[in-house]
Amino acid sequence: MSTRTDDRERDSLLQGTLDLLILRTLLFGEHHGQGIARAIQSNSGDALLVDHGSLYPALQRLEAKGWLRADWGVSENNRRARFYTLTKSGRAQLRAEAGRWNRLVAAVGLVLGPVLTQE
Amino acid sequence: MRWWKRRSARDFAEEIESHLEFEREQQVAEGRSRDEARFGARRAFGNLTAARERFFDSRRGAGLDSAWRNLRYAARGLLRRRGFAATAIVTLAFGIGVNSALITVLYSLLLRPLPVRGATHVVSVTRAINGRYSLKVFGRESMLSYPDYQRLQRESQTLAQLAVYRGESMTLLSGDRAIGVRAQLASCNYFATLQVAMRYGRPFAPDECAAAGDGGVVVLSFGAWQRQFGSDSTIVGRTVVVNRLPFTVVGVAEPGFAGIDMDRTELWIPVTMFPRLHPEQAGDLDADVSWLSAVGRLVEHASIASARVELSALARREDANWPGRETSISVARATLFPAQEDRKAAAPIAMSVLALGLLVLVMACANVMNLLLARAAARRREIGIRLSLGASRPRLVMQLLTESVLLAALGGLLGMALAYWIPPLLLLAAPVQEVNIRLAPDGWVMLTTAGVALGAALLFGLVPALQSTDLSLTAAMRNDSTSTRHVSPASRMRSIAVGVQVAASALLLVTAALFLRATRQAFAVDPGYATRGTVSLLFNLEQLGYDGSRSGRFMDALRRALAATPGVKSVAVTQFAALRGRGNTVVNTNPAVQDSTSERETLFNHVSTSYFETAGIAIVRGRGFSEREESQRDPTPVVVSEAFARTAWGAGEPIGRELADGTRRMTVVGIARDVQSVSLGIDDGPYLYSPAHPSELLGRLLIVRSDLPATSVRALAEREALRLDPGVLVTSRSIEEGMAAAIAPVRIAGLFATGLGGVALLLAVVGVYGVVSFGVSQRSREIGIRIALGATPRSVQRLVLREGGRVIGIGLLGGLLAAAGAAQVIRSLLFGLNPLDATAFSGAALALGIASALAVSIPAARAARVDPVTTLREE
Repeated sequence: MSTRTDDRERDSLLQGTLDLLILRTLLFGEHHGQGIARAIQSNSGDALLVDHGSLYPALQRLEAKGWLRADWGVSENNRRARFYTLTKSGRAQLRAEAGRWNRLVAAVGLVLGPVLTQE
Repeated sequence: MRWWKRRSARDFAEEIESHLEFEREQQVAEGRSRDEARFGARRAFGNLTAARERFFDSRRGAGLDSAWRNLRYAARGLLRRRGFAATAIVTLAFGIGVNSALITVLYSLLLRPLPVRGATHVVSVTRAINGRYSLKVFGRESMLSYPDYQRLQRESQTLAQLAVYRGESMTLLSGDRAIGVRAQLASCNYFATLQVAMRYGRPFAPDECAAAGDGGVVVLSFGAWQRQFGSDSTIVGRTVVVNRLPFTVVGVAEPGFAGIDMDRTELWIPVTMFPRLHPEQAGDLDADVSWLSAVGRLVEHASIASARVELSALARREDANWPGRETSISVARATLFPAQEDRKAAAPIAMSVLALGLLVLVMACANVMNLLLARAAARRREIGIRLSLGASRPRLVMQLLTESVLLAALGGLLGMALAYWIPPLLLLAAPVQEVNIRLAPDGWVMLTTAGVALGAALLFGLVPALQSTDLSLTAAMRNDSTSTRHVSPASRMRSIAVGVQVAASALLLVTAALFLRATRQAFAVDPGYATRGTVSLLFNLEQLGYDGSRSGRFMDALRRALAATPGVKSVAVTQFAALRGRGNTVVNTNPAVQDSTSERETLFNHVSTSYFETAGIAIVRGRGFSEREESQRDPTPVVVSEAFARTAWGAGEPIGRELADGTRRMTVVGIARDVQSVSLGIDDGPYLYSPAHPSELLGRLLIVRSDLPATSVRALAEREALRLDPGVLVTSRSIEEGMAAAIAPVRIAGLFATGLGGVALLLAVVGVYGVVSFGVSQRSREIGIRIALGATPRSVQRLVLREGGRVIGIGLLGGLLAAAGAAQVIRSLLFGLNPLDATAFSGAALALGIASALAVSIPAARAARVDPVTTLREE
């Protein structure tokens, strides 16, 4: 059974990275919420499982910041869905965030060194 | 998101619904059945309610909205459980109210700005003198001298005004009647500095203080004008007689102003009149004597710190006139007690009083915490359901805390009412009734009370809120409330809280018992002098302009007249009477050897003949003074106390020994019994009595020993005194009154401790009862099983009593140990009572023991009546 504590932990773990992943997923075109979640899951080789409960607040937040735009539309299989598009400032944000992420990964890698990087 | 583009909840719900549909389709495409896919989609989404809640919380104003919702929810909850709410609110009202009452009293005494216009700019100015400089003090060491004042007032740029004042008793002649009044000598800018307006006439003019001896004018307080002059509106310009000197009334101050210290001032006279009022001290006006209180008004933009710097610099320049002196000046917001010495002495008292108040508050909080913990246990199911329906834990904690804050706020409101009622009651018990002090709480006190209430809410609310939302959901859903496994940390918490309460009330009860025993002890001990039938009388001869020889003639005539009255046994004149003043000196007990090892510090008194008979002090060896010896010098015959003889000469013969104190030689003619004239219950130690003629005792006491009641002695003395001089005022005090006054602070402390102890006892009993009866209801199933398996009601009762008894016992022991420590601190207030007085300790322990035994026995009896069939069927 999913308890409250688990939910909170996953949320805080993904807080920064989820935003980045959403922006990246929307780089090459619009998507609805479920599509974004699925795309992240498959693009990460099923390693990253997006908690749908956290996804919508994140979308909400990004929209509020003006990085995403949302419009109701119709999907390929004729279902109504809310489609999200990256805005211009969203693109800029993605560039900045991605750069920061890469620097962070490189830095953490340097600290860990070769010994601990094996699986 | 802009407000006009705010998304509706419906829009959000639609998006979620479309999401779930996509997920279902995808899962079906991956090969699951429709039903599986429906649940799978929901499972993949996680907590729907939480997502919705976060959507709502992300909106503007959501915080305020939810606070309002929490408040309404809490109010509804309290209304539903009125008994619980009333108990908690009344308990908190006591805890908070006691504290705001204490804060009100302390604030009024120590911190409240003076009740004058623009009080934020009014400061008190005190000085500290360092260096090897022998300062003459006539009041407080930190007071100003007149020359210092003049220079500071003239040269300061940071102070718009600086004024000085000094209170003293004066005699006002009203028709042919003499009236004692509280008067103040004040600099002529006193009313300008405090911005006090005149109801009639004008304040002092600057030229009325121009030179020593100037200023035959007086300003009356509104109250004195009403009382002494019948609200005569033509008073301005008339002449009144104060201390036998004529003064012209120039003004009547506005109603409500009675000076700025504890005594209500009735009239003001320019300070430059001092030399004419006190001819024998005339030089003090221009000398460096600490005798004047100072109050100043800052210029608009000056700070207290800048005034301190400037005034200190000015005072150091003034030091040039007084070789060896190093002065620094302190400037502080003006309050009722400006003297540094008073404030330093008050700080520890204020702290310990506040500590006692906090103790009661903590006890009240512990009780409410217990109520909440018990309530939380009863609400486990409700909270479990709300958690599993998706309410987040922080939200539930916020909700429970809102309930605590609401309780504290209501308790605080009720407590504020106590803060209005209690301080005037305390004042009623005080020895002096006519004081110039406002005891009502104001904004500052209310703010502090709000802070105290909020602190209390967190104190008693946080633990239950956190504990009750930390549940294993499955257990809560099974309504497993009878299992003891899950409540054990809570029940330990409750036991500790009750133990602390018992300890705190034991501490307070023992303290109260010690004080009350001490006040009775004070009347029971033999102080070494007669405690009945002795009256001391004081006359206002100095205020009538008497000098030594005139006063000598007056007192001599009076003592002869009184001694000849039937019923009067003996009469004497003395510098100090028992419990009415004392003096210290150093004498050489072996004048043949001039070294410091033979110097002894001793109390002293100057007395006329028949002092020992009149006061009832036994002469154990030798003799007292004859009338002829009152004026005999070189050597002066003296009487010393037993303790004096013992410390000076050991077992050696004391009679006939020589003494010296620099100026005179003395011979011991008698040994007087040791007495307790300074502090009841504590022997004075070395005491030296020298003979004196009444002419050497200006402004001193006449004591009368008689079979008559004190009021008759006073009336008799007044009649005889008025025959000698119609302007004389008599104040009288019997030894019994003196003892009552000496005991008053301890009696007030005792009443205070009894009040707090009573509240504490009540809180502890309620706490014990609450915890034990809650424990019984929690364990009713276990008890039912025990009874079903053959336990007798008596053994069940014993089980409950034993567990309650352990908490009470540990708390009681801790409290008694703490009280033993506290008793050492208050030792000097106990009139010689043993600080570990068995009666006080056992009495307090007994009272607490009986009360808490009663509190435990009720739930114990209930436990014994548990019906195993009913409790087991409940499952």
